[in-house]
Amino acid sequence: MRGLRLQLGLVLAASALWAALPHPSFAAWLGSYAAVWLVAQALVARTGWRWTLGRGPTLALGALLLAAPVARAIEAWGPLLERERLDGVAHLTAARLRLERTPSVAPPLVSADRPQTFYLHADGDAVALRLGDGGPRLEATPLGHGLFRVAYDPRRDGLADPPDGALEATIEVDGEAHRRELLAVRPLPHPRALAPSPSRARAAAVSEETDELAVIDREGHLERVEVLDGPTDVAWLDEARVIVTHRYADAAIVEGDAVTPIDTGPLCVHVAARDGVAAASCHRALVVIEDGRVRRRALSFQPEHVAFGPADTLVVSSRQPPALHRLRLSDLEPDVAPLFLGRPAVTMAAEGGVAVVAVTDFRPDGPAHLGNHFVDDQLVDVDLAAWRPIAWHRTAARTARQRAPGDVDRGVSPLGVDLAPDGTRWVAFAGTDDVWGLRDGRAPTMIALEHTLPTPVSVAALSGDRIAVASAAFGAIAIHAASGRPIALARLAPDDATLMRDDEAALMRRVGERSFYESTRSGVSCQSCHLHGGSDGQRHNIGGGALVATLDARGALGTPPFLRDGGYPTLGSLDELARTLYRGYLRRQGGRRVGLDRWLASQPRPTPPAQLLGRDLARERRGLDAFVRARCGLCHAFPAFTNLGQHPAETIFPDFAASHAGYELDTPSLLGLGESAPYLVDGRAETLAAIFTDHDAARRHGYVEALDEAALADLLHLLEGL
Amino acid sequence: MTRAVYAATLGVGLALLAWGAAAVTWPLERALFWIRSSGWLAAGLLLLAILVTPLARRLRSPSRALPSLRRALGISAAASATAHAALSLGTHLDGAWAQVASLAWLRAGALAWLVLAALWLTSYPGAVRALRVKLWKPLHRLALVAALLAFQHALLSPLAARGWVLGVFGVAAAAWLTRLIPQGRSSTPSQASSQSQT
Repeated sequence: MRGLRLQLGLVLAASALWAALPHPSFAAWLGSYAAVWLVAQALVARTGWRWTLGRGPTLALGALLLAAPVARAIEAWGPLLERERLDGVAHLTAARLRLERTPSVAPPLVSADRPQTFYLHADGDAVALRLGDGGPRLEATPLGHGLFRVAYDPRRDGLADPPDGALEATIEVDGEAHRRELLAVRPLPHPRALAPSPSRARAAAVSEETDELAVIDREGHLERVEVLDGPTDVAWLDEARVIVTHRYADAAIVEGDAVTPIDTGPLCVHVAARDGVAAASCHRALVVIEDGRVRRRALSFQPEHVAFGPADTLVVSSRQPPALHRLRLSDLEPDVAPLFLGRPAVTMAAEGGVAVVAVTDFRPDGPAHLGNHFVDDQLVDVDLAAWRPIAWHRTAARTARQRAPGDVDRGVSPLGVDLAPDGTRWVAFAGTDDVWGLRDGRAPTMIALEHTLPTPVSVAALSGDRIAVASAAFGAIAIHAASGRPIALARLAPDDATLMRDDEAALMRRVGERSFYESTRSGVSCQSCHLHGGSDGQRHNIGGGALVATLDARGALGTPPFLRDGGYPTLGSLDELARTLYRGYLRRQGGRRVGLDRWLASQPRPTPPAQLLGRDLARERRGLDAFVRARCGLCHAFPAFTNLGQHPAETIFPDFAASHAGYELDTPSLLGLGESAPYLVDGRAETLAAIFTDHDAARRHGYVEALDEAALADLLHLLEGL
Repeated sequence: MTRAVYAATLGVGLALLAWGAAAVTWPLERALFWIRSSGWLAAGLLLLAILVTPLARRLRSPSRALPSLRRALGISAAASATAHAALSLGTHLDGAWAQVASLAWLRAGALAWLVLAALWLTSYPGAVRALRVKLWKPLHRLALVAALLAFQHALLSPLAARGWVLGVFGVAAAAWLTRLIPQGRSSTPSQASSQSQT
């Protein structure tokens, strides 16, 4: 008993000492204990000192000693957990256990709106995945080494049961059933890409999530037409026909309710049309459709926004490089060198020989500015004939709404541009909920939408001095007079009140989506770099230290911790970045953190192009053999191709660590790798091959020496198709 | 005899590990194999050392050999932890000393090793006398702190299987907590019967 009292006394004294110097770490407390023990030890050894106080005074002294450390511990609890990486440790451990518990499946998100690929890790020969008791049963293809793949297409296979919410999936391994919990999401309509008809009497938009085309007239009358899988953009061929591009299906011409596919192939993301000729940017190719005939030209870059230029040219933007390209319409060959912008085009519109391009920074003669978290939204006018920028204007602005020094509250994140015949440029700003009408020599028209249709992502000028504005997050298209007066609001998705009553999960996702696009006081939003939840494919100076390649924010569910260094345990905790580093939001929003978490969790990784364009199974199996031989699975473990571990940079890339001491690398999932260049934390590898050939001098990033040239090529093929 | 058993156990164990390591072809992974083996060994021995007394009490088999077994396990744990740390710093971590202080899981491992080293040093009567250690027990109770730090180290480390970490440390924690359960006295059937009637 005496020994226990002594022990308690030492612990109390050590805690009191720690409270005097309260560094939030276990090391600090242990140091205090060591110091107290040494003092007590010296006292006992030299003087034979013994505790002589009575029980009452001892208890009083103990209580006194206890008060300070308890108060300090309460104060330092949060920082202590953070410093010791114990914040969110339960969440992180649960995610790791979920992946380690075979049979396991990744990703854990089933989206009702697109084809998806799932990987299963199982010890068996015949494996199948059932998406809920009443959902589809999907046979898995064995790839070898206990890895299986399931290609799921909700249009072909049916929806999960339930299609939204927690989903009890079953993995069948040689007839034995194993229950695993997944998340099912069925998104609401998200109208985007408003395109005015030639007469501007109507505008059309598409909702990729719900496979529909929406046509709205100047009075707000809405027609909805079901189209093919994953419509991405729309353009008018004439007053009656539109062409719609699809991510997961061919493009199609829509006339009334008739949908006629055209043999373009899937993965077309943007389209423009003029005089009945359409040009679409597809998977590493440009496609021109004329009188039902399709011409296709492979490109060395991934084309994005497309517009018709002067004298039968096409103008195409790309993220990598962040540039504009001009091609001859006749042979689709470039007729001039690319025009570099510094950052990629966020949106683009062209009319009368001038293209207006929205960018988050403009630097035509060098790399983008590399200031810490540098974002500088601008509209750049490009003379398409002279092929040079002729003007550029910053859009982010301060207004009388400013409540704190430096607040930026208008003109952030221009995501939609339309050039009206009268010369007015209409711009939709998703970050600050406003639409501007800009015309030379006139004061700009500023239409505030925060109370009617927040997060506008697209705008189209209509005849009769009206405009149509689409908000994807809120699933609606509004008609306004050019003066700003609201005329009509057509909803494709339920309003907030209805969701609050019927579908709270969808409402929280909407809150999160709006927050993702919403500007912080600093003029930066999540969307500034993570374009539409993805990545701008650029490198940014984050924190004044290393350059960091922008991560794709989609497909993050089940892969904590987050960010390149794994510094954030939950998706919602990223909200802290906005509240601290970017000085918070202008608008108060309850449940923002939870909403952000739910929305990010609901974003599936992009469907691998190989699932849509065809796979070479034999080669993928050889690639998986190479993957195993090169010991990639040590860190990029099946089935998510990550073990969710964080490594000191020195252990993998000593060369990188030499200039980035103290950097911790979060093991990324390799799912979706083919479309996520540039690679490695700072984007120093432009291609997958370069990771192994140019950026692994120490040979610590896999046992690549075990692979010959053919095996390495097979490995790269596998990785590109994950 | 005891020494011979220890030596034989050590020899067989090392031979098995060497056999396992020889099957690994990538030198970096071979280093990882030794690091993980020594780490698990250190953790296992430390947990066993902590559990010797409560388990012996629970099993009602007090033995005079108990302190020496506990001491042997403790010293072996500290030696394994030292090997684990040296191997890690010499191979996988490639001398990244700064990271040891800055990364939570490495810091926890280093702290656990520091505690074990202090306990190792004071595990020899000669050393205890020379250092005039009077408060030996309050020092050696830090073995529990070392185990908690080792748990943190293993749980956050990138390459340890989380299921095994939780399983091993969870079983050890449950076994240790049995010391909080009061031990009932054995009673004869007649005594039990008379108690139930009162």
